[in-house]
Amino acid sequence: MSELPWDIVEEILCHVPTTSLKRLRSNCKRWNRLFNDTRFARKHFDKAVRQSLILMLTVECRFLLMNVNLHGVSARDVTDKEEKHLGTFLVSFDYTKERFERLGLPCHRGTAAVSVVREEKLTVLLHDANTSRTEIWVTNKIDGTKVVAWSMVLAMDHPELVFGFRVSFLVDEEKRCVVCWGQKRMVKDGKIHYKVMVHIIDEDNKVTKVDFAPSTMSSYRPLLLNYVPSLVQIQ
Amino acid sequence: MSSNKIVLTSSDGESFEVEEVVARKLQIVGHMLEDDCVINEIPLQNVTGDILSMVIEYCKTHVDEEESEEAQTKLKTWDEEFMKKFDIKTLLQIILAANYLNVKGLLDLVSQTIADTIKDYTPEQIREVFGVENDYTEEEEAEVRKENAWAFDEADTPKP
Repeated sequence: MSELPWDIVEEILCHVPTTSLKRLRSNCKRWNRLFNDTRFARKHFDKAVRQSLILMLTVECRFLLMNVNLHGVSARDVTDKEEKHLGTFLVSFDYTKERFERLGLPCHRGTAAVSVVREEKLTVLLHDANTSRTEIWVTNKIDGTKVVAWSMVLAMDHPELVFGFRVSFLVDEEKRCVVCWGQKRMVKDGKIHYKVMVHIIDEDNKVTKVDFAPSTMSSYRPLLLNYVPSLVQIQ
Repeated sequence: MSSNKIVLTSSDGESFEVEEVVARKLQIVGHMLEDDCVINEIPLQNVTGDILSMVIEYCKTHVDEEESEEAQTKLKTWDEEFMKKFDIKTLLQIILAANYLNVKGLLDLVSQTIADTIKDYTPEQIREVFGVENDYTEEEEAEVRKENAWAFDEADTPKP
């Protein structure tokens, strides 16, 4: 195959997803240099399809990277992830009016946690410890003009799954699944133990459990975050 | 819009008569027409007839790009089907042609298609496609691979 002009090679490579580019670093020195180039990193950030991986922050400050094959989801800013235990409503702040407003929850019983979907929708996880029913609700696209409306995307009933305070979860609308951690109740030597496991729940309500950490870490509550790999380095 | 016909001739002497609006999608032709509006036959030195015919097919389909969501979705589906016809070698020839003839939309489309095709290739396959020489020493290559080990692991996981 004849050699392609360099600008075309660059054009192609800025469409290749970040994790694949990392593998291509070992191709030759020139490509490796290109991927370290700030100008290319920005161009790549604009053009390449955003990948989404799951980053888990544990209390011991260990980051664990998970690939649950969640493709095509974009969620860059994890800092606006709200997590509140407010009783029956959420508080929103309207920057144009500079006013706080109340945002009603679809219904409320027991544990509630808030997460974001694709930087444009809110989602809540509602869990009732008495009935062990858990519901995931998602809003319409929030753009400031429309009224916020909730719709339920998933209802599950798994008695062995206990969502404690500060549960952390992510919703992938495209793959139609929910990733969260939950505590599994276990009886060992006559005592009740709770083991924290990552749960992937698909639209058919099938639960896949992933044991992510050595047993010494099992009592901690990890934080799940969306992670979008990028070549752009923090200055 | 004028329905003037323009004849585009490939490097191997094949001629294509197309409407001026279609020919103008090739920006190289658009510029020539602006410089001198009486030409009606344009030789294109760097493109063979079989590749040029594909570029023209793309331009004909994209000649009036409507804004409506429905039209956009239809075009997108057409683009996907169109790209499925080609192997990697042909795609590389089309990207060269799109670059030379300056067809922005096609350049983006082919870049994305090639990127999607090569993303799961091994480094060896990539080197072959791009004619890249591995200029690392063995130790250096091992070092780079080690730094990016998580990306190599990821390639081994099955794709949905």
